[in-house]
Amino acid sequence: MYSLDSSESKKTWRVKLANMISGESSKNPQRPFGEFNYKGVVHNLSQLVYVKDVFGMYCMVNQAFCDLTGYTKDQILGKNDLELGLFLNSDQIMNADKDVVNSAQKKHIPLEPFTDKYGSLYWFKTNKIPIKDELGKVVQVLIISSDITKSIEVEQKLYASELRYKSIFENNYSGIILVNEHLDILYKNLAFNKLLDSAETDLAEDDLKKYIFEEDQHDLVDLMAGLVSRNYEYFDLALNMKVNSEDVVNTICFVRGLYDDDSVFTEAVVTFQDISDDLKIRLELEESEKRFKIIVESAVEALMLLDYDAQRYIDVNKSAVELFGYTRKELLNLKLGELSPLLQSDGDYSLNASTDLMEKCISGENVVYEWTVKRKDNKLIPCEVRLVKLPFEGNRIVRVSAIDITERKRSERMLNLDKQKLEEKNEELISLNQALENQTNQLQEFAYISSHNLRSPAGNIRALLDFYHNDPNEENFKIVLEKLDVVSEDLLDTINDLADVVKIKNEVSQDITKLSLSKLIAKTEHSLSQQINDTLAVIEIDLNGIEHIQASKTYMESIILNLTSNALKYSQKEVAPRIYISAAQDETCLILKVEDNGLGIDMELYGSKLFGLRKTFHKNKDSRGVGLFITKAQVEAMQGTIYADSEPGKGTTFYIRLPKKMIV
Amino acid sequence: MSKKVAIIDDDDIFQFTTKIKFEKLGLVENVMIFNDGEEAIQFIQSGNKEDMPEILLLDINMPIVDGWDFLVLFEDVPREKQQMIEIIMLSSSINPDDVKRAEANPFVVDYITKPISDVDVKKIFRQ
Repeated sequence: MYSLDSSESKKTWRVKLANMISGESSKNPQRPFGEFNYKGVVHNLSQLVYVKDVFGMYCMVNQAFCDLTGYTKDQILGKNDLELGLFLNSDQIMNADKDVVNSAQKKHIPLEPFTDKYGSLYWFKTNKIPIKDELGKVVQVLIISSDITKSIEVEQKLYASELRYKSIFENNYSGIILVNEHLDILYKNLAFNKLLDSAETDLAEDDLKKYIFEEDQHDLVDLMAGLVSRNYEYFDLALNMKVNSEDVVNTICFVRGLYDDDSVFTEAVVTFQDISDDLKIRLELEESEKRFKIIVESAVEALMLLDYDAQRYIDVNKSAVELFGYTRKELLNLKLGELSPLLQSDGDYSLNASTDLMEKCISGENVVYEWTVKRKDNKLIPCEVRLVKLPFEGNRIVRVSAIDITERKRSERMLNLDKQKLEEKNEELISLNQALENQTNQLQEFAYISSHNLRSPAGNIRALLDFYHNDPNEENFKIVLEKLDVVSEDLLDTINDLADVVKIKNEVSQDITKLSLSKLIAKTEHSLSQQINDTLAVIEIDLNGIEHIQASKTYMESIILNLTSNALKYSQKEVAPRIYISAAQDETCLILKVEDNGLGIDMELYGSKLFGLRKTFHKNKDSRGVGLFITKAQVEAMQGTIYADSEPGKGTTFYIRLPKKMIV
Repeated sequence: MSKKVAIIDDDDIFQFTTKIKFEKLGLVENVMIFNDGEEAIQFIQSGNKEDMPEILLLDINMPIVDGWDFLVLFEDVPREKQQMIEIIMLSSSINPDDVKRAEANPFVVDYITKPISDVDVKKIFRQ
């Protein structure tokens, strides 16, 4: 507000001011006062305005002076600093005043400590201005002091703060430099030196350009130009820094412009981030990713990455494209269900089954299963699918791999078929072997039986002849001849029986034709009509609709005839035979049943011998023990079985089970 | 020293010729004939001790109760009577199974194949 300079007019003003301030100074009555009411102005100034005479005595102070020091005007005026003790260094103050008086030059004191009546410290910025009389002699000193205590405090804080920042700056791990627009380094920190692999601790000025490659220099210079013109205030740039002749450090530098109050560029702060390691890792990652990409892409399996949360495929490989017949883009836009038919081969709903499997996978299990997929052309392909949850952050990603197992399935099927065939063949062989074994046993048994059956009559002939030779007379001759008749009869029967048995063994699967069961039975009844009439037998027939069978005529006739004649032969005395012949079928067999109300057999005693050759169970002279043996052999020759159920005095039932395929 | 002999066989001619052969040799006191095992076992069970045969010729193949069945039923005969009777099996069968089975039976002392030779007769009467 008061610009006090040394121009003449101003000088005049100053004198006026000084007089005015000293207040109606009686010493200078010549100075008319009142032109301006300066007094009020000065007294109301916040600055301290005071006047001392050449001896250092206060001759004027304004209100601000009084307010600050806590003294009244009267207490101050007429005293010097030593007396007042307002300044810590009153001597210096008074000397400074003397300097002004002697030199007649104004003096600026930037910092002046000042204490008030109560001892509080203030800082002042002070101007001391000599006031001269008309002769140019200094008569008084006008002093104007501004309280700068507040700004000093701020400054001190700033300084401390700056120190802190400086320390952060210097000790930062990132390289930081200050550059001007020409890229001269004005300041750099230790980290910057470290970045450049320099053990140097010198932080002196340097040139950034010598550390960077030429192509980067152009970029940097261009970018700096924009910064200087404040088109932008910062930028970043990947910079390869030359460390020494060979090595390079990859950095990212961040450059921020600093501007003064008038928006003029002063300098730029450049922060370097060493990304060599980062870069290396990233390059390796890229490389490895590339490798994996090739592996994935060239994999035979269809590989798909599924975003479980978004329920969408996010990547698929070439094999997936080939397997499903969709383009890559189509696959990525498909809904999950569209790659499966409604039902799987086991009849499960694809949707339900796949949801279960997915959940299993998400819970951390590796899931492998067979799955039918549906191609774009709706063709169904059996696949083996594997689900693996991938350790991605964020959305849950599942790797789905599928491999076409059509071929495998086919060969499995073929293998199964072959296996089945083999098993069938094996079973056939086993049953054949069994049959052969049975036959061998039967043959051996037959051989013994034959020898036995032939030996008995032969032995008898020998014994009869011996008997005659021992005592050859007429009577004995008669006896022997009579007995030889019986023996020869017996021998002939035996040979016939044996011939029958041999025939069965040789006639397996002979004369198979379509037979009518009712006709067969009628023929049997006809053959046995004599016995039926004699015994008053009743024969009942129930074929349950089974009329025709495909079987050996000879055997079937023989079987029915033998069982029926047995039923007639072993009937109870006084009871007319009732014979019930029936046919039936179950899941596997044709069942023929011949039931009678005859003598019956004690099955507990004779059951095991019932079908043996030469086994007889009744004292019946007709019994030769051959019929059932032959019947059994015939049934077995037709792949059937025969068994009996009987109770003495009640009757006997024979069951014949034959293969069902015989029924026409 | 003539013995009491029993023949169990369903063959009339064998019964006849054997009986005459034994009688001619004067080796037997009495020849009993049974047509099957059932008749024989009934006689043994119900007969007097004094009437028991000393030698019993047993055929295998017979109706109703055959030789093997007879041997089973013989197990129930009182021990006193059992010890009096020597059983010799007689059969036309040369089936080794039959021979073995006979040898394994504690009541059977011998197995003879029909027809009966003179050597067999000596064997039967321990001459």
